[in-house]
Amino acid sequence: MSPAKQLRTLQKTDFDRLLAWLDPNPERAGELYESIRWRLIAILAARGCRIPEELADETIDRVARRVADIEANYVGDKSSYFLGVMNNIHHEYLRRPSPPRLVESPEDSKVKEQTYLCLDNCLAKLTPHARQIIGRYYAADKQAKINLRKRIAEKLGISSGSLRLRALRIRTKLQTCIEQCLEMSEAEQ
Amino acid sequence: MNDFIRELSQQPWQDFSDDAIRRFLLAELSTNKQTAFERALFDDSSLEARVRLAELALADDYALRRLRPRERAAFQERFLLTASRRRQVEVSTVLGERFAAHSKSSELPLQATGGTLFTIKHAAWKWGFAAAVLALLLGGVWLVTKEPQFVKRFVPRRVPPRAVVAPTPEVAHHAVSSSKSPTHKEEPPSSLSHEFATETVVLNSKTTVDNATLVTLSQPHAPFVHLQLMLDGVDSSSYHAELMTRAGETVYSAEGLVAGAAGDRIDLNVPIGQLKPGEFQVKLTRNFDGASTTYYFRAR
Repeated sequence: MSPAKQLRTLQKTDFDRLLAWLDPNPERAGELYESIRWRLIAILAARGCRIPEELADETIDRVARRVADIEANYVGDKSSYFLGVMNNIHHEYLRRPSPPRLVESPEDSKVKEQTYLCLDNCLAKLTPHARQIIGRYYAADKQAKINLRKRIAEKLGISSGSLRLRALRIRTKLQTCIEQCLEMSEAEQ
Repeated sequence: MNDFIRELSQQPWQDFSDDAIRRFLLAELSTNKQTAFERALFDDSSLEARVRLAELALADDYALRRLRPRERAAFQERFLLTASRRRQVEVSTVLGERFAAHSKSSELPLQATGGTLFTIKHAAWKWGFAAAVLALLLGGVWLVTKEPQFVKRFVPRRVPPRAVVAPTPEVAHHAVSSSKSPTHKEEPPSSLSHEFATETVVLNSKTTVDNATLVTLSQPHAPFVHLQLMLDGVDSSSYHAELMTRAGETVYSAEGLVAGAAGDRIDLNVPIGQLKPGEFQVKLTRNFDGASTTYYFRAR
């Protein structure tokens, strides 16, 4: 077996062990993994790190490699362990020379067009009620929007806060749906 | 920010305000607060939920140009650092663009007063309208007092609702005394479930898809179906409920639900327009720990 292949196999073993350590139920372990990764990224970004996703993945890799040594005797909240390792990795990152600032690429019109297509597809999958809420929620602008939302909330018999929460929950579903749609369209190309 | 995120907040970390969450996302917290926030984010899943929603709200505010210049600069410098957040902004932008075009048309149905379609400005219209209303009123009074028999022909007699209790499918299909092998028999839906003719329906967490409660929708005078979701015990926690089709498509949701005086049930009013004949499930989730219970019913 080549060293590269051996490394990949080892990483997969470590990763599987990490998931099993997080939770014996694979589905629950997957959710915990996603949640921990999201929190690491959020924290690193809030610390001003320019490459939060990269450092979050580095943190997870490092924990995965250590699980075999610690799992027998580890006591306490497992997700907190990631925070400790992430602190070390962030310190190391701060000692590195600053990476050049990435220049944002100009907006690709094809991507935007595809995003619109995906938006329409995903809106069509919503219930009429949800579509109505999201449509009205994003419809007006600034003060007009505030007034409109108040009226929508009154019409639905809920508070403006609840309306906003409901709209954002639908928005979360839309985000997931659109991202999946974009990934699929990229794969097809 | 807004009180919507506060609705999600639960006991342990509710000292982090919506404003603190926004400043966390814009990398503007002081070192001490930042450390405490990071700790809390790892210890409390409800804070994670609040931050996730605040992230989307911030992306909306940026895309729809609702941020102040200072916030806008901080957003570009310190928020747009991940691919996921950049995608959120893209989606916020297309949502804003898509629906801004429809803003005027979508406002129309909500205009209860002051619209241009029906404005009573002229005196002639006012007098004419008033005379018509008066004539209808007097005619109605005359009809009811002078011709009661005529009125009775049009007013249906109200029959008190009656609940029908049927055995569970298991019992109905596989009787103990039966000597035959327990083969499955298809029967009309009415024999499977409890039927409620009233708008109040009590749902139990022990009900399964197979013996789901049957809800009759032929109540044109009722704007809501009132569901009583029975809890397994007395619980004063806050819940949110999601009404879904059998396929898992959400048709209605409600936030901030708490048990009534008895503390053992959650009342949920579902607009009758959201229900069509078919199988439904209500997922009731406790906010502070995410524990959920599913209730099943069928509508016809």
